[in-house]
Amino acid sequence: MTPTLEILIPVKNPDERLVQTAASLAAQSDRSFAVRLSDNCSQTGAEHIENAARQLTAAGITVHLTKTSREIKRLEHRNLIHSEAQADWLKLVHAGDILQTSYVEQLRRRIVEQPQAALIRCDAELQTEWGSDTARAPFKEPRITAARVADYFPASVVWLSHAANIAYSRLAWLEAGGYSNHLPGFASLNLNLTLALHHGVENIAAPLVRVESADRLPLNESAGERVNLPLELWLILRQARNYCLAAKVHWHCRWPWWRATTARMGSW
Amino acid sequence: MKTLEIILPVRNPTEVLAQTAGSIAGQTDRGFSVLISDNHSTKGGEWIDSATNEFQKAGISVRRIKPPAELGRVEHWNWVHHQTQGEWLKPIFAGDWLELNYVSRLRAASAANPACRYIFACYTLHRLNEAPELVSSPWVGRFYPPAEMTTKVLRYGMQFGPPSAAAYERTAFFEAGGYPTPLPICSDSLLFCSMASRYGVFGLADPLCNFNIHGARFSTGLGEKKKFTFQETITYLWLLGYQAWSERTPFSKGMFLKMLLREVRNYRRAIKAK
Repeated sequence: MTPTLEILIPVKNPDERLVQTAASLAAQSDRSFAVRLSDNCSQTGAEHIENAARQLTAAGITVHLTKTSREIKRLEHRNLIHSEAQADWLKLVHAGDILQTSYVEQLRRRIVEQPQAALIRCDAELQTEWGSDTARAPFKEPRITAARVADYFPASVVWLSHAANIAYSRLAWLEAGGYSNHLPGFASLNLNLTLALHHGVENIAAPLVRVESADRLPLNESAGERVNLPLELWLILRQARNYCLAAKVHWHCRWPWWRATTARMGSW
Repeated sequence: MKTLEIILPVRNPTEVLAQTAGSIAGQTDRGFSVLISDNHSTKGGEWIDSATNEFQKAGISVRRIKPPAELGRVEHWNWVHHQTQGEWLKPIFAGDWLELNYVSRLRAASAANPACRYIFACYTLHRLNEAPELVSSPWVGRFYPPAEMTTKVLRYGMQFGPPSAAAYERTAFFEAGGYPTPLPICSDSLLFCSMASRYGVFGLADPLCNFNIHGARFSTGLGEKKKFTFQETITYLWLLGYQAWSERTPFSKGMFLKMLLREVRNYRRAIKAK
């Protein structure tokens, strides 16, 4: 049976970028997926949610519209929308992220070709303050095992730090538990690394996603929050090393964390 | 409290499961269901069958499930939570047991404190060849709201007992991100401290749970893993402190530092004693 795919879009006070994201989904060459659009008690932008849902439905895509019972934090909302999803594979997309028309087709092909895969990334085109940049994997192979993840991380951080260019099996996500609310700046990196150290990484070496995140830090709260990315990275490395020692996964990283923080971190 | 589901994750259970099942089947309030998840056991199937029969005989709705593949210990806990249907969840492990009025006390506490999403109970600790030890907590008897608990957690750390002493709202567990798998020893400590500081907590003062460090248990080997336990403890305390700093929650940095130093001192003492 073909694995099912669900694209998850958590929104809060969305603007017209949501409609652009929906348009990129509606334009997919393979539309055999569902979209779960979860509204975190928005006060504005209801019309954009309606427009996005209408656009997707018109393209023949099943849309599940849900609403949280009360306003929750950004990462809690991400976790909640994942827990509601039912498909075999999940992909988180934020308003403003654009998927190239062949994204779903290529993702599905890789899922079918590699049924043991649990985490699939692709390259991402990043819209930064200094122009466009591409987050590529630091290896050429189509996949690396969990034991080899430490060969490339934290020497390079950006290839694993975004949510938009990552898809994972629902089972892998359920095992991991979800996004850590303790790391508002690097929650995606933490989850992606956890999954990579459990299952290895499948890589599609093509920029199939455009991430528009240059103007906003992905914080856990809408206002008043602050982050210390070097400290978050240090905590992530401590956890990663700890997991590897406990699970007897090879962890040979001797890269000092303060040097890792000077490595490129994408749009940050 | 709306619906309650008791979660029983098992792997290669031994005869200690019988006591756990007996304590669940004997509850004075049986308005709950049970979910048994077998993580691909290679032995002990007869104990799972026997527990299932006991629940059915007691008129308790029971489901038996199995993950699609063998999972890690903490990964299995996370997976089984997502297979539940109850609005409130209560994990318990093979070997632990509940006092017979646990469910009724839990239900009463939840009804009296509708804002509460996480309830723990004091418990009795049973170690091999040692007298039972009562473990209490200062945070019992009333609902401690999140604002109050954040400062307490960052001053005193984990004071809430193991998963077998806990019950929580299903959505609260999902929103919190489950048990963090990179910290296999302290994952419950981090989750419960996070839930207490995010949602507040109510503690049942009576020792209604029994935490049994039996031979087949993961915790039995922790004495030999002092270094790992210490490293994980420091990491999860830093995670809690960092989150509070990030969210601009007021807390005493001095007391937080003191708590970290206390952990260092305890670890050094334990190493010296060894």
